Amino acid sequence: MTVGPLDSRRASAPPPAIAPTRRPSAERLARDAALSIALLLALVAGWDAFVRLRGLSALVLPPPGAVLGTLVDGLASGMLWPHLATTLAEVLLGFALGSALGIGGGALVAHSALLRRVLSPYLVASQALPKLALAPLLVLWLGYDLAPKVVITALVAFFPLLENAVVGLNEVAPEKLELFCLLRASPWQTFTKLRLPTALPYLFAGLRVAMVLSVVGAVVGEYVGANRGLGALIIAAQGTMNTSLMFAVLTLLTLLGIGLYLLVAGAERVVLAWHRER
Amino acid sequence: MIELRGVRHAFWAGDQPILALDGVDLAVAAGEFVALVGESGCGKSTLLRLVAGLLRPSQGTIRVGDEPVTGPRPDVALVFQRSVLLEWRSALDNVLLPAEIRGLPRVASVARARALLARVGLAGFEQRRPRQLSGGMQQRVALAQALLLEPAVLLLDEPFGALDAITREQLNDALLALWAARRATVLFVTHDLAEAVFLADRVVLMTPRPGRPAASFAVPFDRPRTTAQRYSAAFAELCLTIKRAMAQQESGIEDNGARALGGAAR
Repeated sequence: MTVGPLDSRRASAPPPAIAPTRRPSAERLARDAALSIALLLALVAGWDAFVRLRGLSALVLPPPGAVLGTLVDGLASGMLWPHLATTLAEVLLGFALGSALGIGGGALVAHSALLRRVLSPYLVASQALPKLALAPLLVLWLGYDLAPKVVITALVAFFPLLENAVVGLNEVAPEKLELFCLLRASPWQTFTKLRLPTALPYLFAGLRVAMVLSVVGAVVGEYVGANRGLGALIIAAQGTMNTSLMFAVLTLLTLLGIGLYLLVAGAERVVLAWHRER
Repeated sequence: MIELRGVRHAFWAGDQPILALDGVDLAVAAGEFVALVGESGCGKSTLLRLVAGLLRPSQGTIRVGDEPVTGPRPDVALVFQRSVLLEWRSALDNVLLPAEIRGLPRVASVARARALLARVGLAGFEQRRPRQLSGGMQQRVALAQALLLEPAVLLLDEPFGALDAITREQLNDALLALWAARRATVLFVTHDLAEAVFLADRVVLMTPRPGRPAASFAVPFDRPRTTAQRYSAAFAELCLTIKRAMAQQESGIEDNGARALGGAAR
């Protein structure tokens, strides 16, 4: 890459003044929100205009109005709800199982240096393995019910938490460990009163990632073999060339993902109030 | 109260063995306030951790209150240089931590914890969390925490080393006021000679690594110590005497440049 005139000008320019950090005013927040919504409307209008001007078939790209109609009809008629419930159950069960095992496994690995040394090549290998690629195998083993989707979702959620738990639980300052040693704290007390709270910011970062990945895991699990669930519905819609339904389900999945992410982020705000201070 | 005999301590830094302390003989009487001074790396902190039972000596014996030290004891408290406060706990809950770990009922300790916070000048700050407190305030909380269970021996490892001079003097006063109320046996590590002289009954100078006590200086000033004493000529005189002893040590082992410096000081 060559250094253009822009770069040289930037290099000689004085460093930017550090802006005083101020709580954003209500006006500014309202203005930002209005701009975000305007952008969304512009994108949807652009999509609509594109479909009309090019005269695209609804099979290829349905107009946004049709997608919205399908979504509202699906929700009003109750057609979408069982699928949503199934996917939600898979996501939540898999997320809970995967993150519990991830944190538990992370605690074990963080606790034992021997375990860490012995397991680390396997952990690296399992990180490299694309977990979603296991879906066909899991369907083969576990059938077409809830189980394979929960397992694949759990697998996807497991690794971010394992890694963050190992890092977070070992982030404790040596002096704090000395203090607990001096107070003759039991290993359990040291874990619950020192290591775990120290690791919480890391664990929540892991949970946020795992939550979003869990939705992906459940849907991919359903792609491979399911007769219910939003992923199964997308496959069915593909079979009947119902592109508008595919878009409606994708919209629903996006909203589901956002909702679940906000739940975790909200819990984080409450639990980690001390972490955001100052 | 504290007795070290022929203590030697070596540790590994990578694949290099380092002899931190060698031939340490030191006795601190009950209720005595002893300051340990010396260059950084002379094993002062290691010595404190040996007395605290956090480390085992490679050789020699350490006794606290006539019992050999085999591990951490409930009647020995240590204040660290870096804040060891738990960020998610309020100041009050940090002070209460030792009682909680011991399994003592909270109600029994709360009054004492509040009183201690008031004694270190933090009344009204009980519910603040560490990040909402200044560095000096954090060390005040750490001091209150160390004193919660009324330790017979208080060890302090450069507790005010990271603070500015004004805050340090304020904390020196606070520490002396607390100590006067219930005279624990104190071993105070510092690299600040004026601080050592102001606080202690006796200042022990350590040799460079491997460390051992090289000289002991009795501090003749009356208690309670005052700011006027801190800035008196006699005070400065004693600091200078210790400083010269330190410089002489250096001249014994360093190159010609350092020797010339020691000569000038003499």
